[in-house]
Amino acid sequence: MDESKVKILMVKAGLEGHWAGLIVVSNALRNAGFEVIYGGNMTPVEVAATAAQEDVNVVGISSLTANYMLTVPAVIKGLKERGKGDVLLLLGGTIYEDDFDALKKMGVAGIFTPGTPMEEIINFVREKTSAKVK
Amino acid sequence: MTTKGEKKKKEISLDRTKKDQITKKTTESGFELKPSYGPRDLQDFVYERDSGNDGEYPYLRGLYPGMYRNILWVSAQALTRETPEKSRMEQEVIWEHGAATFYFSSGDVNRTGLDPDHPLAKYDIAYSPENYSYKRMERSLQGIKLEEGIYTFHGASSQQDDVLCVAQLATIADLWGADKTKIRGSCINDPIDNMATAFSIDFPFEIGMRLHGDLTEYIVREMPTFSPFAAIAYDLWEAGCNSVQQLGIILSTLTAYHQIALDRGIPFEQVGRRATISMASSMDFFETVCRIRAARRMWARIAKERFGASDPKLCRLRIAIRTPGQTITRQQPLNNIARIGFQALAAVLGGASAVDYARHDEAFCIPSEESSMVSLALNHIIAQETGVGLTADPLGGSYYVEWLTNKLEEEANKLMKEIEDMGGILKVAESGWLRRLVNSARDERMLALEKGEQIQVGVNYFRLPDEKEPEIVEYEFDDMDKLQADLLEEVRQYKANRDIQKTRQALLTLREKAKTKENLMPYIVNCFKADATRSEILGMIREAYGYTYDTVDMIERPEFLN
Repeated sequence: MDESKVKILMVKAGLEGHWAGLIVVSNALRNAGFEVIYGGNMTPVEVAATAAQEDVNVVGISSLTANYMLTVPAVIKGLKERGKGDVLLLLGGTIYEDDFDALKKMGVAGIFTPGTPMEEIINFVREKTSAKVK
Repeated sequence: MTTKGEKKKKEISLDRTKKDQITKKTTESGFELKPSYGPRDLQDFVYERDSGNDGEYPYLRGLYPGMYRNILWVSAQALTRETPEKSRMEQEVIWEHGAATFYFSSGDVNRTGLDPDHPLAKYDIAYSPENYSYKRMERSLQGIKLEEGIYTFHGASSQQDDVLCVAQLATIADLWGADKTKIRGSCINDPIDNMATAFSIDFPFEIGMRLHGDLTEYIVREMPTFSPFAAIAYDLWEAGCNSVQQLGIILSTLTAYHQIALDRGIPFEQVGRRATISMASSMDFFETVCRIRAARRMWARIAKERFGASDPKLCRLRIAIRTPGQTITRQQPLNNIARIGFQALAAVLGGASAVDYARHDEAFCIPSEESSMVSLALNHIIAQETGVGLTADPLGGSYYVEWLTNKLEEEANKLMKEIEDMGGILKVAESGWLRRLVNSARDERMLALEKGEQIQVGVNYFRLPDEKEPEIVEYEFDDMDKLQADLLEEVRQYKANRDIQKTRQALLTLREKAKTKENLMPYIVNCFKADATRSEILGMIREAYGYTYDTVDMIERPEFLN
């Protein structure tokens, strides 16, 4: 597959700081050949709007606080409203294990917690997007 | 040809040659070490000049004679809960178990200076006690005699947060009739650190530096037992900087801040006697020990040689150490207790003045009460069981330790010279050089981890193949939707019920004064007293400097300020 055809938006939804992990993962995905848009801090509505405008295939959200249970549903709602419900949604950070099921039901495709090798994230994206992008 | 049965058989190798070797042969700063060190490595070392006894210039062996035998290090813990009341309750629990300070750990809303009702803040208000008004902070201080506590403001990479926190504390002290001159504590107040490592929502550096000076001056004048600033290297370590980089940057920074105070007419004696830095310990045990020792000696020399400190006591650098969250792994989380223990032990053997403990569950959740207790117990085990505090600087005089301390100082001095030659730390902070240095340090550290050059047990070394998520007692939040709704309603009422003319007057005065050279702190305190909020205060100062009212330019200036 041609990685450069896969567009990924990487964001922190809301105000949260702790951006180092987002940068590191963004760089790793870029180095793997994907087209990465680094969004930094955005409101969930901005995330959805940017995803639609840039027509991305993947949205990656980083959260090291507990805000993801509020931001993720808002991002998903925004994506659906813009006809982008099929975006591959990734969530990374200190995610409570108790929330995994609920997040997956909402539509989060991949959850990556601290210590995940970059290779694992890259392969996941490759695998899940290869059918859509040839 | 192999049969199916043979294929399944697991290969067991008894060859230990690879696994019994230490993988990494260099120190964190990349020094190639010799197998052993001896007197030849310390030929230029003169005890009286380069070491001195504990409690003597240049304070290599500690700030006080006998060190911990007489004055134990302060044990602290960063802490945050959803509301001021819950934070206070948790605070009381850790006080009872030996933590010494009242720790204000700001969340994202405080850090960025946005009010909770800001559109970008909405999702981040539910998990920390955001003090948008002084009244919120007041709620967490109820029933406390202010003069008795030690207050720590660790403006999470946000210097404007420190400015506003101290202003809120001063507001409360004034309203309660407390004696501000007796309030003890510390803040970071380090805008250079913001430029080097801060999060993505920044505050203009020129305003940061002005407020840095204003806060310093205000504290020296009004709250003389409070520390006006502490150059912070903690974030530098977390961002990937090694010991040499941390020492070079932080001592350049500390020197610059003391020069600024001098330029404002504050005698060195008034600020120098509180000189403080904050650093991370790291997994490199001896670099941590030696980095702390080197920092003390470097500062003593700067204070004497550059600032002409008249009294050796003015050459003492207090060093607060925090064990870093970045070394906490999600894999085999109980291993983290060992990591925190080694890091804290290194801090104590280096002679730190305060140690602030991470918690072993940080890769899972906001630290639980249980993990806080474990970390506090680590402190007490080091202090009371190991006996390491019975004699000052027990590693002093070790060939290796003294060689490494010298080496770190030498290399850090080179970096300080390099920074000086580029026009000084303020210049390289503004030009982006500092940020680039930090960014490449971060990339290098991540690469070393990815390649397995830097070992993390359980992550890239002997990682358990099918590790189950362990039983961690995760901290349980109150209902987040309710917390969010309650806080928004509270802010709405606070803003609706204040004496708006009074608020307006205080804020407009602040904006006018921000255009002059006057110290803004008393005006900021007045704004809080008039029920102004953080966003409004920062908005007025921003406007005086020609910036938009809102940091992220999403909202307009409130109507009552037009």
